[in-house]
Amino acid sequence: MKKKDIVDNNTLQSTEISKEDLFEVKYMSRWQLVWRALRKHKLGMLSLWILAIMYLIAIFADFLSPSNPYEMSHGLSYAPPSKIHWTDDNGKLTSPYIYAWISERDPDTYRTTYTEGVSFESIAALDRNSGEPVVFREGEDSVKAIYLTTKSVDFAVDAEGNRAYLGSAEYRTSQVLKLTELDILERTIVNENSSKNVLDALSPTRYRELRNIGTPVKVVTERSIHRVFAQKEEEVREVVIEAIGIVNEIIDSGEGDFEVAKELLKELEISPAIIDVIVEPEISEYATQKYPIKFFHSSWSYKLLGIIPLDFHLVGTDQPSKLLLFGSDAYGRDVFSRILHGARISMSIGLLAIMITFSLGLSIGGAAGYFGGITDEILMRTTEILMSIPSLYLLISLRAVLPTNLPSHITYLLIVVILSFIGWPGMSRVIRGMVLGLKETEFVQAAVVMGYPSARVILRHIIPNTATYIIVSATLSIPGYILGEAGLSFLGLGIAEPSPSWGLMLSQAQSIKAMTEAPWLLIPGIFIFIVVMGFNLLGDALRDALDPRSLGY
Amino acid sequence: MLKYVVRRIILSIPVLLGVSILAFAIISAAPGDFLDAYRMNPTISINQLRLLERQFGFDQNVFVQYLKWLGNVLTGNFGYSFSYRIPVFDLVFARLGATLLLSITTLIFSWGIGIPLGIYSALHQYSLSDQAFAFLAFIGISIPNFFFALLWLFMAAKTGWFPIGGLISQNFNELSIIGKMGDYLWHVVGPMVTLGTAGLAGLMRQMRGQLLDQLRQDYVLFARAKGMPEKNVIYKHAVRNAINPIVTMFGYALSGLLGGAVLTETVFGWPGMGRLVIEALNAQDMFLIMATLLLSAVLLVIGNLLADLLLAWVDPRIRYRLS
Repeated sequence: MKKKDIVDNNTLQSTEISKEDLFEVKYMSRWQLVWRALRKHKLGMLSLWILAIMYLIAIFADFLSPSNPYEMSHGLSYAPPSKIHWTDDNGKLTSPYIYAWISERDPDTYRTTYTEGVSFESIAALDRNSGEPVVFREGEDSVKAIYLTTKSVDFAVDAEGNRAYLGSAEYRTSQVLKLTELDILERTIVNENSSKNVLDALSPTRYRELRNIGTPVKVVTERSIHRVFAQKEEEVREVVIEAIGIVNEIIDSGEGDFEVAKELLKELEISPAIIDVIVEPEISEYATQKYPIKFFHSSWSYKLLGIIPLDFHLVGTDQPSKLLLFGSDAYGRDVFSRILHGARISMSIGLLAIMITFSLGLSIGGAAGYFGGITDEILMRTTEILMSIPSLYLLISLRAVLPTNLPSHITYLLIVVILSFIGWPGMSRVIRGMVLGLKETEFVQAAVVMGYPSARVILRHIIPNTATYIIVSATLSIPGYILGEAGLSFLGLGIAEPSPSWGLMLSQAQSIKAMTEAPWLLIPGIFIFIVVMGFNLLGDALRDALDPRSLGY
Repeated sequence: MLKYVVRRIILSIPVLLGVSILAFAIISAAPGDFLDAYRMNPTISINQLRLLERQFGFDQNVFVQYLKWLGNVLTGNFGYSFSYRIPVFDLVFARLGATLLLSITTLIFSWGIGIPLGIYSALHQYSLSDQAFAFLAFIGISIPNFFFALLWLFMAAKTGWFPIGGLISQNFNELSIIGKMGDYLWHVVGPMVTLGTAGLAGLMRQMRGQLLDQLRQDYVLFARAKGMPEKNVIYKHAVRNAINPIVTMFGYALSGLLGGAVLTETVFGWPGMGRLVIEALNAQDMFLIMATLLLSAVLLVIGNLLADLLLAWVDPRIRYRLS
């Protein structure tokens, strides 16, 4: 040992108690002293705060969740966390808002990617066809929604600038544009590609026009807004899109104008008043549909604390957008809301299981230690047998005994019981050891001599003396139960879908594909980690605080 | 000494018997049995079912079934796995290798690193490195091993430094002997680290605490006072005394390893006993469950015995008491 450490130890031992401390030591109750010692323990206090917050989260999970943890959204499987925007279209700071995700599936790899989709509240444009300015604004003039048709043309260009069109133009009609391609509203987007792969792929047999130009040096893709539509009557989206398709076809083929198209729609039994159009739009102004994050937002209803029916939540956004702070899982459910609800299971299961374990451990260990003899022998052999099977083996075997198709709250209780069943042998052996020691002490002997019944001696004289150990040991064994439940659920033997449990949520991240494409599925593990760490730190702090030396005696 | 070992082995027999009764009781209490899948199958006739039931002894009383099973086990016949259609003994034996490989490397990993780090931390108490190790140890103790395993796989998938699960590479058969061993080691690193970290962190803290306790003892002061070199004071006296309580943790550590391996093996697709137990339970493969539970208990008994022998080896006082 170095010299410094020796000095360190000496100063520790001879720390003088100040007058104030002396007063406190003399006049404060034992628990006040413990609290005082605990308050000095920084990590202990930190963990106490963390656990308090986690318990509050568990209690008010409904209120804190932005969306219903059971609500599946088909278009949002493995959607990434929502991007929260703080600036508006002009770059000015506003209250935060999000855009809805739109999914795109790669036709070759079947991989789904998500991009922010923007729909429009209003579009003002000059119709070059009629020369009139037109404004479509949602809610005004019975406009229900605004649709855009985009046009994209590919052509090859040779060294002299001659163009050869590659196939006919492609039209796409949709309510939403990608946020990344909003520029298209103001100008034609030109993409030039002169890579060798693309140029080599051009075959004159497929595209006849290529024969009319020299050797192509680049392929150009031009995308522009072709037409703007307004939906004016309530109708299914598919029908609207179909009607728009018909109108586009009539006008583009030169067979007639919008009025002719309307006649055709009437023949097809589609209401001609359903849409209005800007034939050749030159967009001057537009406003995107934003989904502001609203506080005390009202959506799905729940019962606060199981009694008070409410339907507002701390934050949320309007349908059809979904505020996904931690992304979504395979079924499009909000991971954040599920984590908050999962806290209920993890935060409560440890407490419940430890209470049962301790009642069992105290009564069995107490009886074995106090009575000794054959009771002791039988109980201790039983604990030995239970302890010689690895606990997780025993846990899953016991779980397998019980039926799996039970309602979720029954499953929950069963898991609590199984966890306690695994826990009691270790606990009762320690209690037995302590009772054996305490039995020989004079105050217990005195109580026995005074003729108190055994139950009273055990409950009033022996058990209170094990309190210190019990408190510390309880805090330190809670993580084991939390991990037990999480592990069982992870293996699919615990809490079943659709109930949210952290372990169960993590099991979704088991496949490499899900894990790498949706790493936010790993977040529940961080929460397990934080809670377990909180209990470990608190247990350590309590051990220090309950140590008589730290109380200043 | 030999007498002690023999006595311990004899004493463990009733425990193992108890384990087998418990295991059998659990399995008999489970709803349904392996033949349920056959009963649902309309192509299997009642007569065939009866034949199978008689073959596997399902038509008899539970006690008779147990005694029959026990009789077979005593003659070395652990029964027949319904789902794998091979003798249970062969199956479990094949999986035992993978589990032992994992457990032993994990033990070496956690003890080989945990104890030196604990000693180092104790000798540099309150230094920056001590505090850094304490911090890391808290993380190591608190991180759920299956979550750690998932994180490891995530890292392996992103960087490609380690294989994403399994016991051997696809080209295993083409490798040389050294290459084969290297391949095993390369695959065992992930499960080993994720399974062993909690144990390592716990050991380190335990070792640090024990050694600090010993260093405050009077005999250390005396040894220093008489001018013994500091190296000898620490390694010949303090560490020797501090390690005794740690050795008793060995048996306990084994229980944790076998249990924790169920999750780690599942995540890493490691073909060990932990996964076998889950597969057997899902298939309600009765004899297989019995054999794995019993074998895990035997492993624990052996582990505890080894821990006690180890303790006798490091602590002359115990050696003296035993002989």
